[in-house]
Amino acid sequence: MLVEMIDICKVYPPNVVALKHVDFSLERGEIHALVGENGAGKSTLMKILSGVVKPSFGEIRVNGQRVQINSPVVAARLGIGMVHQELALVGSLRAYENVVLGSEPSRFGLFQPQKSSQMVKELADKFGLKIDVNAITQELSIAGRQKIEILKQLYRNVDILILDEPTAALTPQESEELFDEMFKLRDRGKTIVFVSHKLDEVLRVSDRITVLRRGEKIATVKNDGNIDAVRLAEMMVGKTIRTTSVKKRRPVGHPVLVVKDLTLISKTSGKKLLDGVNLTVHAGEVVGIAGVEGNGQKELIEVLIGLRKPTSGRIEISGEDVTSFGPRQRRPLMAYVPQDRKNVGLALKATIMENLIMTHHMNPPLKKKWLLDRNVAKSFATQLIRDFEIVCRGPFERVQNLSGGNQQKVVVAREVSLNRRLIVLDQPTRGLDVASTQYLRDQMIALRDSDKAVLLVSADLDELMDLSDRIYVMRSGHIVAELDPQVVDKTVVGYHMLGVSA
Amino acid sequence: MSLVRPISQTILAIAFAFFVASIFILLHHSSPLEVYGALYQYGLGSWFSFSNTLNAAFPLILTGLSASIAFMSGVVNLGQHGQFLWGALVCAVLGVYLKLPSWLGIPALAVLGGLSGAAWAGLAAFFKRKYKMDEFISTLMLNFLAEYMTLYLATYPFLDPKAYVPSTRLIRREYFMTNIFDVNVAFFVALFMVFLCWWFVWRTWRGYEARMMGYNKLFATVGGCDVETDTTLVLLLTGFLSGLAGALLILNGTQHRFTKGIGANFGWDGVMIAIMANNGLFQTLFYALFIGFLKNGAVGMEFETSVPSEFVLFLQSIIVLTLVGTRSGLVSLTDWLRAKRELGKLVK
Ligand SMILES: Nc1ncnc2c1ncn2[C@@H]1O[C@H](COP(=O)(O)OP(=O)(O)O)[C@@H](O)[C@H]1O
Ligand SMILES: [Mg+2]
Repeated sequence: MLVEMIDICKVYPPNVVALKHVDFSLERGEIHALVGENGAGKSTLMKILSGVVKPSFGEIRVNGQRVQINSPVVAARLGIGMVHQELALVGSLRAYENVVLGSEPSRFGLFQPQKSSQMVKELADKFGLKIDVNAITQELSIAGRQKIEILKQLYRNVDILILDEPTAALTPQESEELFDEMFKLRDRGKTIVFVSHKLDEVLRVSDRITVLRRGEKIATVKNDGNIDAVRLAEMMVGKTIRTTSVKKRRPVGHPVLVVKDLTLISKTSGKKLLDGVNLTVHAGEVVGIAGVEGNGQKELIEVLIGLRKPTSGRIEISGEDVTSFGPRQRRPLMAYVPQDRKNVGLALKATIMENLIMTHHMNPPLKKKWLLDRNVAKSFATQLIRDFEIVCRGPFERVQNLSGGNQQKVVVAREVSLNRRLIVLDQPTRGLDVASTQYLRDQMIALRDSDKAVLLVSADLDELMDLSDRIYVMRSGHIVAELDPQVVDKTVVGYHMLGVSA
Repeated sequence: MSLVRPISQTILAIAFAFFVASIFILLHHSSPLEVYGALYQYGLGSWFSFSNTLNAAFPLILTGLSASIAFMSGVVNLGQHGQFLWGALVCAVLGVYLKLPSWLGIPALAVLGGLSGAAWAGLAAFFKRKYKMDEFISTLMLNFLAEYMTLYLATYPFLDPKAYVPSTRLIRREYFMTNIFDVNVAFFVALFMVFLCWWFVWRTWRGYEARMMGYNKLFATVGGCDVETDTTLVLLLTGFLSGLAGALLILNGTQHRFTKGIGANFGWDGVMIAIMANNGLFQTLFYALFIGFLKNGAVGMEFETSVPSEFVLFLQSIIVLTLVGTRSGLVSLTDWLRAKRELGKLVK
């Protein structure tokens, strides 16, 4: 074994448990994929290996020797280098300058541009990386900048190259190029860790695959044809509990959300993030959006809530054209449970009450002319805490002190009590324990039964199959299928997600 | 109550800061006891010193309030200095030419000074809305601009030819604000503004939106807060407070005119006070008084001991550093302990 990470635990202060007893190993000359949902702990594990983050527990061995990797410098000395999800380059410098930055070849203390440029060019040629080393960094595409980062590590002579979600922002063609380069690197004896949650890619390029889920290692498997995307997805997401809510077919009502030809083109990369999306959600139905993460679901939601303006297309809620509206104008028409509760759904340092009255504060009885009625706010918050069984010490406790499940309950309580005709939920059960998940699913069914239009985005296929009356499948910014979960089987949905024919 | 912890933390931090400072006083071959004695005597010891401390504090309260409200809303207004200068200059110039009875003139001048500060901050708001320019940069740049422009106006068009340094003429006598038992009326105005701002921040829905914006801007935006208007409003309000500080210094200070270098440090002291106060409004009041006390006591320290009054600047920095350091130290200590406990559960 080249590298062994044994029994690694990580707790981020004050109380985020990111890794629980994880074992991970690397063999020389392999491409090892690390997969898992967002927040599973992939980046944390790799940051520990590359000396950016210190483990709270566990040990690391390199070539059988126990080591302490206290900094990226130490990691580099051990031959380990990481290309982070967020690229950190100086935009005004030339590509080769960024590569050598920090360990420039110099003569009598003078920087030697000619020689540096030459060296970097040779390095790029040797490993088959296609890049103009004299280009100004900020004029390069993301793919180009990524190559600089890779070269930067190769220049420091690493044997183990960690790529954290390198394909997340690449076009399919750019991803292909990257894979070719990864193969070339492997052929020259480098070991590569490929972090991703795009399962088809993972299956194509890797020799071994390690699956993480909620900070735990589920398995490490050989990619020898005995494993497929559906099986991997299952390991990633986990077997899920069946909802006990009785699902009854109800006649659906009027269309509440109507999306027509929605297209979104990224201003930075020119990539089509959403491509002619059409969908409708009626009153009294739960509509699910399935898809492998990163296929446009996030962008769809951002456009729906009004954070991003679509390039073209039209959005109607309850018959009103809201395409040009920002979140403030859309809020009277819709409720929204965001995926990222810590950064979007909540203000962690504010009190439970302050979090619960958000959006409600725009209308009476909370808003009284200029004022916000504190007494109404307090009784409103107390009521919601009781109704939604939020475990806390009271409305004035800070939300950051609550457990994840109870934090999510704060968000859900607030949004459900808005009593809007449309509610959009983005991965509402992700990262929650069994009881909270169950609770949330019951809530969604209850919403449907009270004639709300419910749009549910989830990476959890079982959840979608159980809850939805209809399922749209998204792939590469398209809606590729509209399915009835009563009729089709889970595997069919899976095939559509992955783009392989049944 | 949850007050016990912050108060004991503050006392601890201040005590520690004075302790650290005594080491430096000893190195300076003076006696800390003597130095602190003088500081106390001249800063708090008698009604005379106490009222002087209050008088030294009123501009600090207002600029501190300005910075605190901005920072708690996530609006990085660093333009207190420039807004202050415009408030002072406009008040000083109008105070010479405007003829009004004092009961009307004094409040009118104070408000006009405040509005000038608000207008200056409003420029930053405009740049932000129109060109998405960061208020952090624009308010800083506007400080330099304000400095040159006000100095120009005081040196050329509105110069008092009889003055030794560039300054405007003395404002009309009926605009001199009086004292109540030696305490500037301006101090009470500043106190009133603390309560008014407290009411705005904690009782109005705009104040709620501003605070939520400070906690998490994305949360506020997605929640439907009117973040653009809120930001503009906060800039205007905090600009008003700084401008008001400048105007009151003209009306109720000792010079009653705009001179070169007036209010040299009030802007930055305000930022520092906001940091010490962790953007709390009543904490801002407390620390403004505390810094006022140090500044005022410094004079006595120089009289009575061989320690130069500049030492107080040093002492002030030591106190800010230890205070902020101790506070974040205590926070990370508790975080670290919680993490340890969590890990304990995990590995047993
Ligand atoms: N610096 C940090 N401080 C606190 N929590 C963190 C930090 N970085 C990551 N986390 C948390 O640790 C967990 C794992 O995160 P991460 O390793 O980034 O997952 P992944 O890369 O698989 O998406 C998440 O719950 C995340 O919120
Ligand atoms: Mg990650």
